[in-house]
Amino acid sequence: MIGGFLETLAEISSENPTLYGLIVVAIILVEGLLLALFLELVFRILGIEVKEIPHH
Amino acid sequence: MYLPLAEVEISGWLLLAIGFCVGVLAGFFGIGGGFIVTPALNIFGFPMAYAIGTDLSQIMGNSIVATFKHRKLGNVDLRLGFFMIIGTAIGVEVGKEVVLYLEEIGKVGSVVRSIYILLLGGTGAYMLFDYWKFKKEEEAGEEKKVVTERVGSKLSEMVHRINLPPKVALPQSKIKSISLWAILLVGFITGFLAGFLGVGGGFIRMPAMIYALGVPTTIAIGTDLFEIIFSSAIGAFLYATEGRVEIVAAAVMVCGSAIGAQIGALATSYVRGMKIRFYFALTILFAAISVVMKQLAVSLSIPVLSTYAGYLILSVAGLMTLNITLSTAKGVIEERAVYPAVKRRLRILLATGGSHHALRAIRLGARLAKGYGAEVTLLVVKDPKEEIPVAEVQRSAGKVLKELGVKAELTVRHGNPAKEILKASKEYDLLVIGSHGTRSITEHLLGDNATHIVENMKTSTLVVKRKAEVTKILACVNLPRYREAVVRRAIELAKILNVPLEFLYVLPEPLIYPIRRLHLSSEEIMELYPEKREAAEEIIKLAKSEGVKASVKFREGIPEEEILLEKREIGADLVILGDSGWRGILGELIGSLSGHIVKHARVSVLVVHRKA
Repeated sequence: MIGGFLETLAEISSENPTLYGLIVVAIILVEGLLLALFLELVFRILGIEVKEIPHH
Repeated sequence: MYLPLAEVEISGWLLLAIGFCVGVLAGFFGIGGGFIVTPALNIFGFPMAYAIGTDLSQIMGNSIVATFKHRKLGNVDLRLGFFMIIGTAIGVEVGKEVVLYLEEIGKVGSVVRSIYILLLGGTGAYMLFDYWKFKKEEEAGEEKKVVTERVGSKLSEMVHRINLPPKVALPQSKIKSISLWAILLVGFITGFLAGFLGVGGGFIRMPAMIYALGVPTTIAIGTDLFEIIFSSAIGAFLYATEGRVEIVAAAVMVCGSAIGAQIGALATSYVRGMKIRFYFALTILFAAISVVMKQLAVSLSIPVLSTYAGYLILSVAGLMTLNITLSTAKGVIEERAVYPAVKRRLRILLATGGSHHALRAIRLGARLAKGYGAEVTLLVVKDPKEEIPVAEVQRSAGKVLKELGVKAELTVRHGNPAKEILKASKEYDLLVIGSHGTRSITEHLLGDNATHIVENMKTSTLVVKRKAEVTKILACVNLPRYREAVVRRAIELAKILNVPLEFLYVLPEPLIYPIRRLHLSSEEIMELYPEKREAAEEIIKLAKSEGVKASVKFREGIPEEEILLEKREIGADLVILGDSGWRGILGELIGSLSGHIVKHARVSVLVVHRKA
C-alpha cells in the first residue's frame, strides 16, 4: 500500500509539480500540527508540564 | 524503505533518529538544523538537491511543533516575528541577487564558504567569550551571581537609542520602545546573510535578536522558530515543485523531530539562558570547523575530508542531543524527587523599591522560593518621582538571595510602583511585596501601595510587614470557593517554614443568630454544625499527612474583626486568606475583606488569588 502511495506521489511530482509542492506543504503542515497536539497530550498524561518562563 | 524520487534505500529508524537529533537541537537552540540534516542525508546516499529539499520540509514540520511548544512557554514574540519576517524576506532576495552576481564572475564558491566560516566561527567565538566573561563575574561573587542571564549588550543599547520613528513596543520581549527600522534592518541583514549563504539563517537570527535587539535568549529561540516555519515552507514548496522532496522521508523525520523538539523546548526550562548560549556557541564552532574541512576538501582535492566533515557535525549533534536529553531527564527527575506535590515549578516575583521592609519581603519570599524550588524573579521598580539607586537595591537584594542560596532573574521597570508591580505579576504564581506595617494618616484614608495591589491583584500576593520570620500561621477558610486553595497553600507554607498552623472559620453573625451574638465557643459551633466538624477533621488529617501540626477553630462574628482578634490571641505572624474583593469601581468603593486585613493587620498577609 505504501509502495503504491509512493508511486502515485512520484507520478504527481512529474506530471504536476505545483500540485506536488502544495501536497508536500499541506502534509507537513497537518502532520506538524497533529503531532504538536498529540505530543502535548502525551506529555500532559506523563505529568511533564512545561513551565512558562519569565523573561528578563 | 525505498524512496523512488531520490532513488535511495534508507532505514526508517535512521531517519527517525536523525529527526529526533535535529528536533532536540531545534527546540533547544531555535534553529532549523539544516547544517546538520543536509550533510547527514547526503552521507546516507541522498543526492544533494534531494537532501536540501527533504531537509527543508522536515525543518518546516519540526518548526511547527517546536513553535507550538515555545508559544505555550510564552517564548514567541509574534509582533517581533512578523516585523522580522518582512526584513528577512527582503534580505533573502537581495542576498540571492548578490550570489547570482558572484556566480557570473565565478567567485561564488570561495566567497560564500569564507563568509560562512567567518560568521559561524565569529559568532561562536563571541558567544563563548561572552559566556566566559559571565562565568568569571559570577565566580568573582559580584551581585550578578543572582542573575542567571544577562539581557542586552552595548550593541542592543545603541540600537534601542536609535530615535527614528515609528517606534514600537515589544512587551513580550520586554522592550519598551525600539525603532521599527532597527528591527527591519536586523531582519534584513540576517535575511541577506541567509540568502547569501543559502541557509535558513536560524543560527544568525537567534544571536542577532539577543545581541542586536536585546531580546531574552528563550524568546529569541521561540521567535526564530516562528520565522523558520515561513522561510522553510517557501523553500520546501519551491524544492517540491522541482521534484526534489522525498515526502515520506521528510514525514518520518518530522515524527522523530517532533518528539525531539518537545524535549529541546522543555530543556530550556532546566538549562538557563547563558548555558544555552554556551552550548549553542560550541555547536556552531564545530559547524565552522566542518565547513573549513569541506573547503579544504575542495581546495586540496581530498574528497574524504568532506565525508569526515559530515561525520564531525553529526557526532557533535549527537553528543549535544545526548547532553540536552540527559539534562532534561535529570531536571525532571530531580524536580519530582524534591517537590513531588508540585507538578511544575512555581514562579515567584519579588518586588522591591529598595526599602528595608522590601528587603524583609525578599528574605521571606526567598525562603519560600527555596522551599518550593521556585523560579524567582527580582523586580526593581524605579519610581521617577523618587531617587532609587537601582544598583544599590540590586546589590542588597542580591546579598539576601545569595545568603539563602536562591538564584533569581532581575528585571527593572520604570513608573508607578503599584501599577508596574501589578502588570508584571500577571505572569507569576506568587507576588511578594513589603509594607512597613505602620500607617500615616494619609495612607489610612487613601490606602498605600500594598492595599492597592491586593485590591487589584492579578495573582496570589504576600505582603510582608514587620518581620521576615514566621512562627505561627493563621489561615482563614471562610470563602468556600477559596477554601481548597487556602488550605493547600497554608499547609505548604507551614511545611516549608516548619511552623504550626491554625485554620479559622468565621461564621458571620446572621447565620447563627440574626439579632445578637450567642458567644458560642468553637466546640459548641462544631456541635451545632456536624458537617463543619467533619470538614475540620478532614483538614487536620490532610495537614497531618504532610507532617504539619494544625488545628481548626470556629468563631462567630464579623469576619474582618474576628480574624484580627484571633490573630492577636494566638500570636500568628502570617495570615492567609482568599481574595474576596470586588473588582473595579465597586471594589474601590466598598473595599474587600482581604484589603481590610492587609490594611489593618500588622503582620504579614498572604492573599490567595482565585486562579490559584
